[in-house]
Amino acid sequence: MKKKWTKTWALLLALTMAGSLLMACQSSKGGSDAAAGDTAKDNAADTAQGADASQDGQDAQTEDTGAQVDPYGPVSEPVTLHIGRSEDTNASYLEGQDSSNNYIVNHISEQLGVEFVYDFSVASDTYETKVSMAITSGEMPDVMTVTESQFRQLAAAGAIEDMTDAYNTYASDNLKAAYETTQGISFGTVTVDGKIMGMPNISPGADGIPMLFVRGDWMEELGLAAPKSVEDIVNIVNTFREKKGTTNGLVVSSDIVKENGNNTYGIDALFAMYGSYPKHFVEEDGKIVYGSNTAATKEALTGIRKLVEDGVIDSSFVVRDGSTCEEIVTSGQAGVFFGAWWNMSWPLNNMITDDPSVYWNCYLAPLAADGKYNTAMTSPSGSYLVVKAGCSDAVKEAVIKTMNYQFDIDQDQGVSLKSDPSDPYSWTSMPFSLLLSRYDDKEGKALAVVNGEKEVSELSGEALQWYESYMAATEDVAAAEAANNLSGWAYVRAAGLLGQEVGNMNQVFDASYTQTESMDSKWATLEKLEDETFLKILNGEASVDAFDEYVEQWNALGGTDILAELEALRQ
Amino acid sequence: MKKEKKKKVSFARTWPLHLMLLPGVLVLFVYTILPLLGNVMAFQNFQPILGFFKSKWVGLDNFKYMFMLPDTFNIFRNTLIIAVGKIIFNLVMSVFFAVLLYEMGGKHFKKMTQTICFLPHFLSWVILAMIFRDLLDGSGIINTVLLKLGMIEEAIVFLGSNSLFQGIIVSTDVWKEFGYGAIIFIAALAGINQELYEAASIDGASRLQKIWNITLPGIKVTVVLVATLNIANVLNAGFDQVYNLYSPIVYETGDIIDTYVYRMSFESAQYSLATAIGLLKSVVSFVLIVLSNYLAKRFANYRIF
Repeated sequence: MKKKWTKTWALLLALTMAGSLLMACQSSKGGSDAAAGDTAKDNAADTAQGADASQDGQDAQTEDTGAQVDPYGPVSEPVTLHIGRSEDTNASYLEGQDSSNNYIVNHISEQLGVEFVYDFSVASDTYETKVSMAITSGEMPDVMTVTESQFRQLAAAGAIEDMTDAYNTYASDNLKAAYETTQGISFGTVTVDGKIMGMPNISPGADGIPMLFVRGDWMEELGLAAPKSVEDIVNIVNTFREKKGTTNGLVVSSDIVKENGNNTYGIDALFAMYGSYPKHFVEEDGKIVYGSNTAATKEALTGIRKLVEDGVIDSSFVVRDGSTCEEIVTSGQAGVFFGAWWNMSWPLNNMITDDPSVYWNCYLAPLAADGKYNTAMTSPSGSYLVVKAGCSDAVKEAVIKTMNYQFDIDQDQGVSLKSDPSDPYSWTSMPFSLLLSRYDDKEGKALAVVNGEKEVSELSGEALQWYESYMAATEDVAAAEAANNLSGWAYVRAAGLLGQEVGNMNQVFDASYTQTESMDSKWATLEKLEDETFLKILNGEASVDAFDEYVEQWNALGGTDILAELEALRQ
Repeated sequence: MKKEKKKKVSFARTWPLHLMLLPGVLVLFVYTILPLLGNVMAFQNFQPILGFFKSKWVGLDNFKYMFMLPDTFNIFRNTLIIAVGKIIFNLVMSVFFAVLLYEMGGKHFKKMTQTICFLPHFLSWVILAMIFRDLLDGSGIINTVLLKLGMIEEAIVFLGSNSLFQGIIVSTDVWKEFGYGAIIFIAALAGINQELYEAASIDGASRLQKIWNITLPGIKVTVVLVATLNIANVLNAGFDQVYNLYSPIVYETGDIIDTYVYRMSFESAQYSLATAIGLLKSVVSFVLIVLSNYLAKRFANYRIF
C-alpha cells in the first residue's frame, strides 16, 4: 500500500514538472500571441477611430493627388512605424526624455501623425548583430538601417519594398538636392533593376579626409614651422620628445587604414603621400585595382616601417585601440596624430576644459612630391534605410516624410525646435539611425564664415551656430569653454581648412564603391590577410618582401574574382 | 561461467521513473539537440534572409574552402598549443600548490592563502584583460621597470609579439585558475591515512621523502583522472581570455578556433564557413571525449559513460 502511494506521488511530481515546463513554453508563446493580439486590436481601434479622420484625410488626399503633395504634411492615414535603430549611448537628453520621447521625435510625430515604436534600439557596436538576428528570425521591424551586404541580400530575397515612387512623390526639394551632391554615388548602390530599393545615408565627404593634428601651443613655444613633409613631422615629433618630454611620437592605433575614412589615429595620409590608397578600389591604367596591392603601397610600407624603426611611431601601436590612443593624446603624452576634421572638437576640446592654454593646429600634410595633398574620397553612403516587404504605401510615405524632417532638422541642428538654445541636440536622437547630410556639407558651412561669403543674417542652423561659436572662442577661449560653445570654433578651423585647400588637394575617388557577391563570402579572409601582413611589415616581424607573397595570396583567395566582378559591373 | 541472471525489469513497473526523467530530457532536447540541426549551414551557402530551407546547397564547398585557407591550419595549431599548455601547467601548478598547502602549518594562514589564490577564478576575463593590457603595454609598468633596471634596451610589446603571446595566455590563465584547480587535490589529500606518515617518521623518513613516497602516490589516481578528463578540453583554449587579449598582429599565434568562428560569423556574417569550422571542431572533440573516457577507465577505473 505504502509503495503504491510513493509511486503515485512520484508520478504526480513528474507530471507537474513536465507540465510546468510545457506551460512555460506555451505561456511564452501565448504571451507573444496575446501581445500580438493586443497590438492588432490597438491597430484595429486606431483604424476604427481614425476612420472618420482618415475619411476626411482621404478626401483631401484625393483632391491633392495630381496637384501638389506637401512633403511636410500629415501622412494620408495614421501610421505606426515599427523601427529598428541604433542607440547613441553618448547622446544627452532633457530631463525625462529619451531617444523615443524627445522634442524632436515628438515634433515629427505630431506633424506627420505618425507613431514611432522602437522594436529595438541597441548600442551601435551590437547593432549589426541585432539586425542580422532580426532578419534571421524573421522578425524584421518595418523600417531599419542595414549594411550594404545585408541590403543586397534583402533586395535579392525580395524582402524589402521598392521606394522609387515614394521617394519621387514625397521627398522634399532639400532632401533631393542633398542626394544630388553625391553625384550619383549614393543611389548607385541601392538601385536594383532601375528601382530604388532603399534610402542611403549621406555622410559629409569631409569625414573621410585625414588631417594632421599638432599641439599648437607647443609649436609656438618652440618656434616650429607648419609641417609640409614627412621630415617636418619627424622633426616636430623629435622636438616635442626632447623639449616637452612626450613619451609617444605620432600616435597610431592598430586600425592603420579604414575604408570609410573617419580614421582617428590612422595613417591613411602617410600612404596617400606615396600615391597609395589601401582599402580603396582605384583605377590604374584603365583597370580597377585594389589600392592595398599596388607598387605604391609597397613603397609606402617601406617608408612607414622606417618611421616605426626610428621610433617616430611607437612600436606599441600594433596593440593599441582608439581609446588607448585617446588617453595618450588627451593626457599630453603626445602632440601629433592624424584624425578627421571633427576630432578638433572631440576629443581635443575636452583638453581645454582642463587647461585653457592647450591649443591644437591642423594641417593637410604630408604633401606628395607634386606639392598636392593626396586623399582618397570615401563613399557618402554606408548604411541603407529599408522598408520591410508588405508594408503599405502609407508606411513608405511616412518614412520619406520623416526623412524630410530629419534632414531639415539636422541642417538646422534642431535650433528652431529648441525651447532653450542650450537644449541638447544630436541627429542620433531622431527616429531613424540614418545620417542625412550633404556630401559637401562641412566645407560649405565653414567657408561661409571664414571667407565672409555670407552675411551673418543669411546664416541659419548649424552654420550660424558655428559662426557664433567661432567668434566667441576667437575672442576668449576660456569663456567660450565655460559656455560650452567650443565645437563650432573647432569645426570652422578644421573643416574650413578642408574648404580652403580644396584646390591643393588631389582627391581620388574610388573606381567603384560597390560591394560584390564574392566579397560577401571572401572579404573577411582577405581583409584579415591584409591587416595581418601590413601590421607585421610595419612591426618589423616580416620584411617588406612579405608584401609580394601577400598580393599573390590575396589574388588566389578570391581577390581576382572580386576584381573581375567589379570590372563587369562597370561595363 | 555462470551468467548472472538479470532480473527482468518490466516497463510497467518503471514507467514512473521514465516520466520523472522527462523534464530533463525535454530541456536537453530543446536547448542542445535541436540546435544541432543548425549544422546544415555548413553544407549550404547560408543566407539569413532565406533561412535553412531556401539557402542553396553547396555540398562540401565550405569545407574545401576551409582547407584552402591558410588560417585553418593556424587556428587548429594555436588552439592545440594553448590548450595543451594550459592543461599541463594548470595541473602541475595545482598539484604543487595543493601539496605545499598540505605541508603548511598554521590553520588560519593556510586558509587565507587558499582563499586568496582561489579569488582570481571569480574575476571575469573582460576585467583581467584590461589590467593585463595596462601592465604589459609598451609604456606599462613592467616595461618601465625592466627599462629602468637596464635589463632590456627597448620596450617589449608583450601582447603584440607572436613569440610571447601564447606564453602570456598560458601563464595568465594558470595564475587565474590554479587556486581553483587545487581544490580537488586538497580534497584528495585529506583522504590520505595519517598513520602512514607516523610510520614513515618512525622509519626516519625526511619531509621530501614523505611527500614523494606517501603524498604524491596518495593523490596519483586523482591526478590521472583530472588529466584524462581534461583531454576532452584540448580544443577549448578559452574564448573570453584570448578574445580580450589579442589583436590583429598576433592572429598568427593567438587566433584560436573559437575566436575565429566568432569573427567569421558575427563580425563578417560568414555563417556557413564558421559553421563548417565549428563542426570540424565538434567532430574532433567527440573523438577526444571518447578517447578520454577510454583512458580514464583504463588508468583510473572511472567511467563517464
